[in-house]
Amino acid sequence: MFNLEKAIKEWKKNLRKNEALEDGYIAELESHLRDEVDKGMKEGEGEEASFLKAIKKLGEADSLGEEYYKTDTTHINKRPPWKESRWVPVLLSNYLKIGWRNLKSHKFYSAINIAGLSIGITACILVGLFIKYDLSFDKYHENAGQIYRAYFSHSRSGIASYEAQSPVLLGPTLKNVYPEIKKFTRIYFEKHCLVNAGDKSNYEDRISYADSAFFELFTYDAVIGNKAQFLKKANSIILTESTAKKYFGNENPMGKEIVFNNKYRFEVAGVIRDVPSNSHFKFDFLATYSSLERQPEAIYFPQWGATFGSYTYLLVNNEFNAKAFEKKAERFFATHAGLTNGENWRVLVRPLTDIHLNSRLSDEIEENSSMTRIYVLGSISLFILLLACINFVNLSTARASKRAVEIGIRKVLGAMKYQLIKQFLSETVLLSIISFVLSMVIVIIILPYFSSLVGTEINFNLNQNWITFILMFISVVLVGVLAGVYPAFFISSYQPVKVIKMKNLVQSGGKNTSYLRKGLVVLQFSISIILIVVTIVINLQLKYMRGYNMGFDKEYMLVIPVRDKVDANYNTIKNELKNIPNVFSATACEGAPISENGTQTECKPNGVNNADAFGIRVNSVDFDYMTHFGVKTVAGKKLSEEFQGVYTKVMVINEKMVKNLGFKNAQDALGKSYFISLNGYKPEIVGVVKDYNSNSLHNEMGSLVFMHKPNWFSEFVIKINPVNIASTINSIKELWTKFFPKYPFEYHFLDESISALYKSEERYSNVIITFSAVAIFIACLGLFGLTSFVTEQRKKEIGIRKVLGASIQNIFKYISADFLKLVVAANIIAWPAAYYFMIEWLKEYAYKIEIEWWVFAFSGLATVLIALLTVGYQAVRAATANPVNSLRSE
Amino acid sequence: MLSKALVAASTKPLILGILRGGENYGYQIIQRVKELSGGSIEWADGMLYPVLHRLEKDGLVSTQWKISDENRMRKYYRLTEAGRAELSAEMEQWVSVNEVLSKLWGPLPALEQS
Repeated sequence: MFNLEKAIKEWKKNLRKNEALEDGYIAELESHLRDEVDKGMKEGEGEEASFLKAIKKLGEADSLGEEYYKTDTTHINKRPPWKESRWVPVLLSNYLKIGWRNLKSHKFYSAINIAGLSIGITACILVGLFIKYDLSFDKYHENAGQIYRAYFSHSRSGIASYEAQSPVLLGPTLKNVYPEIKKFTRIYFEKHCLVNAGDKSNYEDRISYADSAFFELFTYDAVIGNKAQFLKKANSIILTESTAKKYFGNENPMGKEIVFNNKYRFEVAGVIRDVPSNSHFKFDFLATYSSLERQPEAIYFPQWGATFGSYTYLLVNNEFNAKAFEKKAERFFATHAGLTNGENWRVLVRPLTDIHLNSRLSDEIEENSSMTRIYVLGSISLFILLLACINFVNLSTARASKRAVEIGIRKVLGAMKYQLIKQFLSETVLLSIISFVLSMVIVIIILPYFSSLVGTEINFNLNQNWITFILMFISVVLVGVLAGVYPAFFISSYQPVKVIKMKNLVQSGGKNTSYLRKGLVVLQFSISIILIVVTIVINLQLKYMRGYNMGFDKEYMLVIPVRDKVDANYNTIKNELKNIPNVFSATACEGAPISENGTQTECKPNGVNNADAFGIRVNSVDFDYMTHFGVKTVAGKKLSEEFQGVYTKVMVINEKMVKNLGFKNAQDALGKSYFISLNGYKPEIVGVVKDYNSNSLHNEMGSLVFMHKPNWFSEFVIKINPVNIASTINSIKELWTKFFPKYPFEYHFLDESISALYKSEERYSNVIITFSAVAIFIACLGLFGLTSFVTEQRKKEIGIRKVLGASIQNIFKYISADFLKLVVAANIIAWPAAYYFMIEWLKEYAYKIEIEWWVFAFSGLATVLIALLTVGYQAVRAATANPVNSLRSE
Repeated sequence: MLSKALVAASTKPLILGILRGGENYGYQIIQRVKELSGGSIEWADGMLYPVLHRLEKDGLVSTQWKISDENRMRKYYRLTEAGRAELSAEMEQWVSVNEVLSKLWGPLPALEQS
């Protein structure tokens, strides 16, 4: 059924689509249409036929619109916008110019937007660089895909423990047994050694020994010498470039002699480029592995029973599959090592490129990173960027509705919807480009500080990274477009008349937007709260670890290593030490607690041929060791002269070892003898001492064995008076030079080395603190911008309230109330999330804190306060403004 | 058929002329033009209104919406003073052109019945 009114309505709707046809024109045309239809009907045509004829006569909406458009004198010679070409790249500079002009006219908000976004982008770039660096470890080797580290696990009563170090015999045997293993090398790391070369004498820490196949696995460019010949000649050594320079200046070091510890001679056989920092092991010297045979103090035991000291790396063929190999080699230890209970031992392989990121065994070469760390840092930086983008969108939208009046006027003057959209987009895209440029500048400036903060060397080489650079640029522009699209479409669809009349469009027209905006603020603050909690917890954990009572006295303990064998002379030295004023007590030992000296080996409680074993650390100590460190004896006796002549037959153990041996009471262990894989010893337990933490609190306590073998002493530990430290040290130095003229004097404080254990945590915590501060700053920035906008919107409302008698406090409360509700909501979201994150993170530590409720309360309160301050400033300003001023402007 | 240019040039004087006779609304004006020209001038209906709009903008006509007896809203146009002046000016121009052409071609031959 033809309905005239309905048809006319449809037709009018179609006309309205053309922007040039305003309501007035359409009304007139409708009137004409009706007259025409009447005429047609009078002439005998049907209603529908007349209608169709009439609208045809009137013409198309677009041509009508064009005619009207032309009557507007300001559009002389211009085509109507719907006929204009949509996107002319040549006009890009035009759009940008317009955008720039608009930015300048709203400097305050533009500045806030740019600041927030730049910070966000900077944070992301920096963290991105770090992650890229962390992921790049060891990948520079040509054969990186075919290199695996061979390590092993052994189980005892169902619990497996893993060692990164492996038996000396593992490498060569694996190569002989399995054809898929092409080559192997063992690497041994010397901890601390006196090096004499050229005419220089220094203690060095980065000394390694490796098999001749080393350079066939790992890629290091030779600077001097033929790489194929490296490490083939016995007792030869390779130097890195800077080491060569350090000792030999500009001379060619080939063939020159280097001496370790005044004893072991090596001949320089080559020089290689310095080891890059993104390697999981680094060295300055590389000597032939076979040289270890002549060094009795080295942890070099070519027996299957001794599993510690070196690391084994394998070069495998292309068909190698790690899982398949591990399955194949399940019975390797049982078959080839000749150990009963060897079934409990497994050979494992880990890809080289995986070590830095995923391997966190207790005996790693260097502290490795972890994927957790990367995820956490990555998430934080993405959060920060998210915050910044949220602000960006929020503020742009808010601003856009503020400019509703401006928009309305523009429309009346002829701006078409598409033009407005273009304008908005050009503004926001320009904003994001400016932020990007700014953040690049900031990154370049800050990079060195950031590198040292995180403890790595990162450089941002534009040439190498230009693809990344372009990707970043594109994503930033995308952010600008996304941020601009929403307000652009929203605003440009306003009807001009309505907009100019109803300036409070924010309130009414946007119930949805205000929910969105509120949601965004809540999200921002949730993220900030989570970060605050994270910061606090990490710091608490750090503090806890630093202050943890490890069970021995560590205050003002001077540790002095000795290189020469002191043997029985130690007593003489000790006595002379005690004569020095301000020296309270002294002890000689293989290693102080947490020292890496001492022998990591194992105890075989079920006999030497039974592979069942657990790890122990054997420390040779003098008779005063326990009293010196304040460690109590809980059963039996201390080591003393009573055992003269049978020192190698007695040992003192700690409580942990008692448990490992299966005894309930320490008393029960006394008198029992056990085989320890050290020189075939099977000492009897004569005493048990209280547990103390002998290594970092990352790890569980270990089993400790104490014996008296002065032959092995390599440290003196001296407790000194906190007063006059310098002079005390001086006197000790004189004493030392008397006894050990060939070795430069060196020392360190025990508590410092303990602190250094947590250096990486400290660095990590610094990074997180920095980023938390940045995130909070951005959240506040956003809140600040938003508040100032909303307050201005409600200027009149506030003015009226004041006139009606509201006090400043009332107004303050009124304005803040809304925002505070949001912050409270943010807390509710953030607390469970933060709790979950922290519990996960703390799992890494054997000794950890309990997360207490006050941490959350504090974070919540802190954010509320910060929000109050941010909002407060605006609120106070609004509250104290003269109502006359705000009500006057119309 | 008249050329486009000629139609365009003649709309203003036509409309102003018609309005001299009194106020009128769009539809009526169009019908009048058709009448006067005997059908040789046929404007697309919609084209008239932008021209009217332009005349209003230029101040040559003033407008008023009125409701008819049948409840129809119509926009009525009437000449302003400026409109009258403009009309006189147009009339002068067209008369002088006509004079020149008459002198050139002689008295215009009567149109054949077509």
